[in-house]
Amino acid sequence: MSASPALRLTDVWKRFGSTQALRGLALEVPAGSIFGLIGPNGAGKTTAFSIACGFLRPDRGQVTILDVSGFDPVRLKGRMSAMPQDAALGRETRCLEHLRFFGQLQGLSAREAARQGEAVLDQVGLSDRRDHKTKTLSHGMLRRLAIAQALLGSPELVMLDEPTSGLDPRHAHELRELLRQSRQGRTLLISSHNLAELEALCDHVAFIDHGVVVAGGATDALTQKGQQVEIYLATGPAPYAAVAAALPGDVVTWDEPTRVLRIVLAADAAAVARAAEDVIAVALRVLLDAGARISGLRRGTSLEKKFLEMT
Amino acid sequence: MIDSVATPPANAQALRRGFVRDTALVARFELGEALRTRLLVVMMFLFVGAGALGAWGFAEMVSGIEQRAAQVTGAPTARRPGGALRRLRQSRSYHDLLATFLRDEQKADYYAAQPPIVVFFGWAALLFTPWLILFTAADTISSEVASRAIRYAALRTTRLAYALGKALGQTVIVAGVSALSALTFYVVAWLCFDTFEYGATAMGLLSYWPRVLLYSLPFVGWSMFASMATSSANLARILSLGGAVALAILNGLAVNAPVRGTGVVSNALWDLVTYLTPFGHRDGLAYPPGGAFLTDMALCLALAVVYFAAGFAILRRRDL
Repeated sequence: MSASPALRLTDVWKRFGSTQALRGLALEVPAGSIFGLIGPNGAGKTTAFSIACGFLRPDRGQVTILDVSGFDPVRLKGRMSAMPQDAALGRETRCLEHLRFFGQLQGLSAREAARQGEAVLDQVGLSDRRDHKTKTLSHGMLRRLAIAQALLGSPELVMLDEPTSGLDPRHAHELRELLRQSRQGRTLLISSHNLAELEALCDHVAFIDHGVVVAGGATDALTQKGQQVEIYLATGPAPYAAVAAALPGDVVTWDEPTRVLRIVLAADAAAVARAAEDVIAVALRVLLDAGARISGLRRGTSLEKKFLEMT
Repeated sequence: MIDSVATPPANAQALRRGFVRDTALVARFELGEALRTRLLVVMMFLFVGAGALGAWGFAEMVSGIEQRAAQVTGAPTARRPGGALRRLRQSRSYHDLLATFLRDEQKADYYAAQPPIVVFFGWAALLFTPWLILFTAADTISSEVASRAIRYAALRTTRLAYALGKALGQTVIVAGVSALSALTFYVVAWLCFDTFEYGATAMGLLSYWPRVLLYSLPFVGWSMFASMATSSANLARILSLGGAVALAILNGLAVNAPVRGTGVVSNALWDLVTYLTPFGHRDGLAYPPGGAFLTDMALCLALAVVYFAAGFAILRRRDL
């Protein structure tokens, strides 16, 4: 795995008429990571995505993709792929014909492009539609075909803009599993509104708002998985004072309306993950001994909560 | 501005090979798309229909003239036309008629040596083929920019290979349908005429086909310009046809003696206009012995390149 990031955007600016879409966006996507790009509508996610793919020209700034300066389809041929948002596929062309053409265009032989085309159609659950014209496909199927073309070959960097938008829950789940399985050292950049999905899938995320990255980093660090524990109690005893006494140095708070016991670990705790597990063990022992009824437990905060805090 | 970072030089030969391969792939896909979207069927219908209609119309016209002449002279009329026309062509009066009409003895020699139906084909093909191209080829890129379908290709190849592939695909389509049109013309003429000159007509049509194709190239270039200059298929069609009408009017003014006047500078400018509009090169291609054939051929090629390059300069910098 390369030490340098798979994708780096440095001080990237882009304006559309009177709208300043990006304002000095800086983003680093670590090589080999599954990276989530998160932001509200109009935050600049798709613009950043499109600049990285070479569809849009930045007004200012530098883009480096797989150690290549700027988008260069010749030097990046076969090394990166993308699923652009809202890009149509020829209506009269059959699914496999599209994939054969795209595969050949990214450097595969005709035979290999056909073979891989069939394989990716199978992966996205469209093998029975290989000879169907795209005009006969539903919205979700078109989405899956667009994902299939991004999985052709062995790209080191795969960029997917809202990949599960329009997919039914089963296919969305299957796609997440497919992406997890197809990782194999490659870098996946996923832009999505579905924060639960990104939290489950991505090891790194960046929040974009008003054309800049407002927060970013490892998902565990952002969601404070090693620094905070929330314990949900059902009606009954709530011995939070006993928990606080058992965990000196950590900050224990009790929220009566939601019945959430929140423990923020001491900042100086070394080996944070281990400490979180120890804290959970202590807290649960105290709570169970006191007859508390535990309805749930969560390490850290949700990506959604973090996102709402940051944007 | 994107700062440049030194990247290792790639193998130039491999790059060239990749570029040619991509261009050919895009051209092949364009042909397939034309077939799938029935554009090719429409073009074949238009060109074959025009060929058939042209030959039949010419036969009908000749038939009408021959019948009227027979009525006047009291000569017997043939079941199928062409006999009288052939006899006329073999006489000196046909040459004189052409010389009067063309006001050029050498041109009259050239055209009198060919079967009249070949001359008619050349005239019709050179007149109408460009307009069919301007109408059908204008949206080849603009529609893909509008639907963003271009993004799938732009990820995988250079915009130049993509645009050249599209232009090559259109050129192959024009070559194919114009050849088919000539073939249809030949077959229909064969069926319609009484005394059909098989060999001379075939050779004549065969000699016109590459010239029609050559004359079509600047129009393919102009259509590609319109297609790359806009991101709307309708706008591209309007620019393609409207621009060509403007060029035709300019050329018409440039060759019109009263408009040109007598000024040396203004005449030089009008001459320049005729060089820069494709319509100014039709006569040179239709009449190779005239001396302007090579110049017009070169200028047609150059105009095709210039129009394409002007469009590509826009596409190269365009947000997709």
